[in-house]
Amino acid sequence: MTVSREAVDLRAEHLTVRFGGAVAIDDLSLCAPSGQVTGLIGPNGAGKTTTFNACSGLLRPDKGRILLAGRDVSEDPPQKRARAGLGRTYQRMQLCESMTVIANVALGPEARLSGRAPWRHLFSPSDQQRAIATATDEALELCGIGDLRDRTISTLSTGKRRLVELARVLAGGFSVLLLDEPSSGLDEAETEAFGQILRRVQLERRVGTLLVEHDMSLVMSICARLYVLDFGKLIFEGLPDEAQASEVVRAAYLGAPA
Amino acid sequence: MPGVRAVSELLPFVVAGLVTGSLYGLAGTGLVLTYKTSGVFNFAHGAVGAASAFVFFDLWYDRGLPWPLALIVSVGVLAPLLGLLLSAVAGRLATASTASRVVATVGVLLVIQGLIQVRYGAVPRSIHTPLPTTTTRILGTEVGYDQMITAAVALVTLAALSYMFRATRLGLQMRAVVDNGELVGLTGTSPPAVRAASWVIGCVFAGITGVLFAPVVGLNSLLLTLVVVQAFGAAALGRLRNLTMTFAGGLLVGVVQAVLRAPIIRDAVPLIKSLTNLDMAVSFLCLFLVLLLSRRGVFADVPHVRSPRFVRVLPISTICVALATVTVFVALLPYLAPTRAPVFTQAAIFVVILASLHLLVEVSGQVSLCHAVFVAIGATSFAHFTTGAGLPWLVGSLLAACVAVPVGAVVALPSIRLSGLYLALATFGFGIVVEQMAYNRPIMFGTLGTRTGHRPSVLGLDGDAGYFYLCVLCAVLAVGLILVIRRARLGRLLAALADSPTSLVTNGSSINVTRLLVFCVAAAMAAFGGALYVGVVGSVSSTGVSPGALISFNSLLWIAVLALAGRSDILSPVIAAVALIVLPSYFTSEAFANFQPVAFGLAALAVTVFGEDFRAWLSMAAPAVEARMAHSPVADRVKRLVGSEGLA
Repeated sequence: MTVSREAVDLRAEHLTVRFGGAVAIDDLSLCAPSGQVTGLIGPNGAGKTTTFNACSGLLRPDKGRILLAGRDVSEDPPQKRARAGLGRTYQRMQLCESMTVIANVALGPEARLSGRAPWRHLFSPSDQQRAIATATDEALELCGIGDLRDRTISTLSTGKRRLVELARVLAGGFSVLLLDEPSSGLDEAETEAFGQILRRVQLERRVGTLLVEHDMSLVMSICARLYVLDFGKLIFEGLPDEAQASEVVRAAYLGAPA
Repeated sequence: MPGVRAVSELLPFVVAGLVTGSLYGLAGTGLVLTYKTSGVFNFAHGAVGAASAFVFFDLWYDRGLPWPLALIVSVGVLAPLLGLLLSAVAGRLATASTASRVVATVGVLLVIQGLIQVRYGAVPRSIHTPLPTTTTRILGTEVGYDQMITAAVALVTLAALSYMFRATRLGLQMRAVVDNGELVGLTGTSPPAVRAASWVIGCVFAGITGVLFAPVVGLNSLLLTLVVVQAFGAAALGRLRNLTMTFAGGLLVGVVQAVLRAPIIRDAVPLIKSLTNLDMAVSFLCLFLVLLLSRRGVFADVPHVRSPRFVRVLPISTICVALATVTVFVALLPYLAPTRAPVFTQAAIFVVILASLHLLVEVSGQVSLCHAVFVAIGATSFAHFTTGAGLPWLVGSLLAACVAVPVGAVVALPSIRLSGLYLALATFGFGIVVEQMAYNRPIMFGTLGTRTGHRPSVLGLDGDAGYFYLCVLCAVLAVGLILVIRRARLGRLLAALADSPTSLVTNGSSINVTRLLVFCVAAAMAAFGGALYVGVVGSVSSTGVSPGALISFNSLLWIAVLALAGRSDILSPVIAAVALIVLPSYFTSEAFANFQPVAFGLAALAVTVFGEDFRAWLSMAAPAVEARMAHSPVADRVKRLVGSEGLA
């Protein structure tokens, strides 16, 4: 890929999102620095996916701004943020169901290279094709789904689909990854394997990852730092060990004051 | 005082507008009800109205049956039966592709239209109304009793629906479905029953509208269909979800339409006078503009899963033999059947046109229902450039293709905000607006409705055989272009766009560019086909009854025939062109000609409703079908570059 992997961090400042009268996110600030996994956890409806949507530009926050590598991208549409290095996966996966695994994964770099120039949408020079092929292959290998390359997505299990979506965002060469519940729908072994892949990604590439996840063992073992949301409010920020010990976090999850 | 005079001159038009508007509102309400309960937009809504009208006037006017009996048969029996049929069709299509959902009801439309023609002939008749036509003075304006009764029928019918919504269990369920269709499946009520009931109600509304409109526009199946279809505009104003707003929208469309006909307005605003047929286009203008200008997300179509494409990979030897056979056959064709050369030439041209439609529908998953307009724009521009400006053939035809590019871009504008069905509806509205308002302008066909043009005068291409070869070459190039696009980046982006636009956006691609591009390319191809079209007989007309005529309605026919021709990039346009153009020329007897749209409609219906089952059955019968999956171009390239040994 032609995209350089310099240190790019994602920063959200004073984000507020309202749906009608309901406040989905309330004055949330967070930072996902380059080179480490940052966890974003919280009970259902805490506003995690909304935060992701605001970061990636799918919805416009009522207040606050998003900074990517120090640059304000709040006014940019999602595709422009993606071109600036922000990649994401979805809790409800966004895969091209009628296409093969390899075509889906290759779409990551291809979409990014197509950008917004019309001629870039028509044809691709062969050096870009080579770059796409290499990136695709690396990502397939990294996610261990090389043997599925010619399978159609609609024939795959949820677990395999999650890997395809991860492979696509990895092939895209993004500097910041937003992973939205990548292990939901995966069994224990698959989750374990998934954790391995994330660790390898972290070792091999200097990416910053913001991870929304419900599997606590995965979160605790992989995240360098945690943000805990409850009803749209940030209730905790700190190291995973501290989060485990925190009364506030426990109360949010168990619903009763300790 | 001039003000009072203006009001008194305008008032009769407002009254007439309220009357027709109440009918639009009624039809629109039925349309929205069926759409909301099933997710399938009924393009056959107008045809149901036309069918009821024809049966009613057959029984009452021709056979002299008492009108209540005729009404019971036409609106009380026929319309509900059609409703049940449509409900069954809709039930199988809830998550089908946009194209399938459009083509299925278009199939029903073709069948009903065709049967009306078979039974009653294509010649329009004027009939009188069973209602009393005497008038009375209300507020200084003559108001006909028939007008009052018409409006009263519409209001009473809607009041009955409103009462049913409030007072009955079925009504409550229906309201629930209209509010949130997804929830109903979860709450244990029976969606099929609710759906069937609403389709029956919707079709009865269409039937009432048709019967009441027939005395106004005459017994003309196309016109009646078009009039009832004006309800599309009302439905759009109701955002395809709000029944009250839909009725209000119907009234608005009716009044605006009638007021535009008032001489006092026409004299006051020269622009309105110069825009002929603006009144007929108002509703479709509404449809197009509402869809174009609505806030993002107001019109969001249900997502669907496209079934994967299976491409049989034939051995090289088979391909060579087939290619050689086809080449020899095509080369000999002008000599085998010299009298039919124009037919085959037109078929070759339709390969170009249908290939461009295939590019939109199959490759990019977007439905265009205004393709005939693209072709007409190409044909008339070509005539202007060559016959008018004296430019050589090649320059004229290429310029004609270029003229269509900005038009394609205009049509693509709604595609930026809309997806699926709503885009199809916007293009449908656009097509009718252009046909109504621009076809008879000097810039297109002119008031005489025809334009002339010539064939290229070099290399003997102006002979029948020569021109046929030229058109075949263009057809080959058009199909070749589709294949190139498939294998180029545009094809991969389009395939992804059809499945998941969100994934493209969040991976950095500006999908609006892709959408704009594909519409421009398709429009240019279709317009080039239009330029070729002129040369077949040396002229092109704005009207016609053949499947190849450039009337807006035929866009629906073409897309239905293309859908039943399969999904292959090479074969589908060819098969569809043969079915549309060549077959009718061999079956010239009146019976065949009449049954042809019925056959097309039935086939389109069968393909969309049972196609998935058939494919599923095929894949069960041949478990190895997965192995025959076409390797994507990327996959092939990756294998070539990296080698497959390291990974598999």
